Amino acid sequence: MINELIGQDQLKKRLSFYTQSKKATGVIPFLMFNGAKGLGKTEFAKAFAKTLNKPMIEINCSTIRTAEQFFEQIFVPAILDKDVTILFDEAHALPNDLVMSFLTIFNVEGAKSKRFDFGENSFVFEFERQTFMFATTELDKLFPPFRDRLTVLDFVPYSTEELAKIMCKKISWVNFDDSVMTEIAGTLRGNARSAIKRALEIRAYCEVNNQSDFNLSDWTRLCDLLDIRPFGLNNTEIQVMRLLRDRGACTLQMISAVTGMSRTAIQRDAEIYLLKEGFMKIDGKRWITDKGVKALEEINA
Amino acid sequence: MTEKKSNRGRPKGATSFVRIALCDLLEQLGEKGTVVVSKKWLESIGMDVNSPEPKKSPVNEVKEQPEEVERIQFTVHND
Repeated sequence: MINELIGQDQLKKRLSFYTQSKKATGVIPFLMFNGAKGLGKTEFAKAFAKTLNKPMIEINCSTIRTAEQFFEQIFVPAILDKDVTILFDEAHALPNDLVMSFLTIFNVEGAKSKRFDFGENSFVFEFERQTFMFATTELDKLFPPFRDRLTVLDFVPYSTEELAKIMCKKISWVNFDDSVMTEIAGTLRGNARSAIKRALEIRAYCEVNNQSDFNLSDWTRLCDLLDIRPFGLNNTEIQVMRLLRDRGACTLQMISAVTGMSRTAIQRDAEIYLLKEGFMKIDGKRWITDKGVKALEEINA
Repeated sequence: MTEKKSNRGRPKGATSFVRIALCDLLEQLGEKGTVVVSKKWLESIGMDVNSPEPKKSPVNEVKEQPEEVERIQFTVHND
């Protein structure tokens, strides 16, 4: 259930409130889970569906081409007249005609059902029986009137302690040295999915070496084996930092020319994390910070 | 300026259609014979305007193969 999940405390409170208020109102608001990849949107949606005691249909919106296809393949066979929770994942990829239909369907103002005419058919949405949830990494791409009909729940990055707990929960039989857990969590970039992946890597390492203890030297060896860098930096980020250290301030165009990556790719794949961690700054040009230089020293790059 | 040709265009009073008694046509073509008529006219007398399917050429056959239905990807979590 929701409370068994680690982190996202504020979000958990809101979900608990909606569960409680359903007893009075009969309905759950149309929820939109908003957050970066790997923060647990799907996991929280699944746990919430369990709380509501209903099966959950998880739909990848990028595979829906038209509203007609949705009604034919999903609504009629799996939603109509059923008790179910529906999660529209990657909601920013919903086709336009379905978004337009949703504008009407979800314009309910507390009503418990809505009849929607589509072509020659008429479909009834029963909001006491069916809970609609959406998830996206790109809330800004949603049609604003549609976004206004949804209740947005924001996910936040996980703290080091929370990430450590997520890993320990996944491999509870592994005994970690106190110091190693902080080291590991520092490479996870606040991401729960990365914590799960790292836990599975550690499990494989321990199983291969037939051990249940994991200390700092094991971690150093695993980092070497899997090319895990301090702070979870990837090769592109390190390349950009090195360039800024060696050449001084650079324009985005210059970074693009030297790395051979497009400007968009640099902004999307490297700069966001470097800026977030304070390893670089933008002041007209791109600069490496003292913190960035120290990080490079630590990496020996 | 070019001189206007006197034999240009449709002669005055000429039409594409002629009137003929149905029995005369039947005599000529028989009951199973087919005739070409305007869709509008057919519609106006309350008949189905969908003409019989044209003879399929190999090209048509390739084009008319049923399209693969694109399926929406979804997972049902029951646990």
